[in-house]
Amino acid sequence: MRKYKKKLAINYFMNEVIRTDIMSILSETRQRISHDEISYLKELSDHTIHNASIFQDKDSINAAVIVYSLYKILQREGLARNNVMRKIIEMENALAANDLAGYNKRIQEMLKMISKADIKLKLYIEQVVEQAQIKKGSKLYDHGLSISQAANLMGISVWELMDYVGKTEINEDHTYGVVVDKRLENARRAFSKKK
Amino acid sequence: MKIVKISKKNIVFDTGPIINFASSGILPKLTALRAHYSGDFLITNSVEKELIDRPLATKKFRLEAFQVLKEIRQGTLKNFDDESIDRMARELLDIANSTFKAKGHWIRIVSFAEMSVLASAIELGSELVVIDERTTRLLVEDIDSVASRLEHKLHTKVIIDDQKKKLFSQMTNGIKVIRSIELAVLAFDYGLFDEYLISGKELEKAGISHHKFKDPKNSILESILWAMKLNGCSVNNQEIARIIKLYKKKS
Repeated sequence: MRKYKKKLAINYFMNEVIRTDIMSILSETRQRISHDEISYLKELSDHTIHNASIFQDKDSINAAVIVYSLYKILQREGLARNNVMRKIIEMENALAANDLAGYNKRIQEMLKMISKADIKLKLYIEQVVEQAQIKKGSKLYDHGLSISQAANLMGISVWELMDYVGKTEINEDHTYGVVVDKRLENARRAFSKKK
Repeated sequence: MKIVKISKKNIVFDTGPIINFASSGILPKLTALRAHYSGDFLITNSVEKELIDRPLATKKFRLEAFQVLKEIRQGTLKNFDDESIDRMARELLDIANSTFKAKGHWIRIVSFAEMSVLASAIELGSELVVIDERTTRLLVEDIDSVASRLEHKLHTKVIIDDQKKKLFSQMTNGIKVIRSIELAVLAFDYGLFDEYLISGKELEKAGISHHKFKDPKNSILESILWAMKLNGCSVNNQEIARIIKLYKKKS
């Protein structure tokens, strides 16, 4: 928990587009939980990734990580849903009132709630959160940011991100650039030349 | 600032390809490959930080980081940076990160480490740069495709600053990019993977069906290529199939 707190930077300014989008994501998260549509939270966590790619703000990144962590934890009934919903409403209210300090405080409280779940679930919360960071980092890369930039934004290492990206289909759809024959030719030419 | 003597003939590495060699368990092949190259394999300070500092601070990948550190200590990978490279890296970073705009905001698309690789190649006139990740490579080779991808993935209009785009392309013009996968193919060419060759008899003795290994050499090549792909090299299935086809033709 200490580690994650350190990673979550607190912002006291929020772009209006981001604020509106996060409020809408939180509201939808709450509705999906109340309708027992937990699997939808995974997709929902990606919605904030568009803003995270463009604005690269901590708030969009934190929202994506929290919604994804909730998806993982709630799948296993590791948290009382009423408490989660209450906390989300508090986050929404803080944002609606433009109370960013209050919003950040609620984020930390939500993370504390998630961290308590690891005792019940015998899950390592840092693993859940790190998994969320890696997943969302891969989305940033998929959206067009470089791997190092995506890793930096998520507070993870390039090692972790590359390891994950390689097991996805993200690298499948690159069809641009130089053809492989030419790259091989360039490589062979460089190695065949003398000093 | 460290003073390091470097060869005029050199190849600059980004973080990804070295991670890939280490994660695929073939880092010693990079050392062996270095012996076939009559110049230096270079990394910048910021690449070294990504390779070493970060994983050493965690439990995961710490062992791999120690293995990479050994390659740096032994001189397989030389750390090189100077003020002019630093300056140019900052310039490239500023340009690349203010070329694509969405929702009224410039998208910071790349990091300093990646731009330090390109800056080194420009300043040192490097023969090749080795980059596994897609975005930096496409900025050099096909900058328009970066904008198309952003637009397609972000579902929003992306505005391009044409002057910056042109400037970035001019500055990086002539840089030849390869990936870890092409280096692995070269290592294969040099017979650096021959130690893994196993005969039909030996397979039989080990109780392994050798139907799948009719062409043991190609099987090894295929396994190397897939290891590199699964460890994050941006290469697609068709490219792997193309490399294998080229080798089948050869043999």
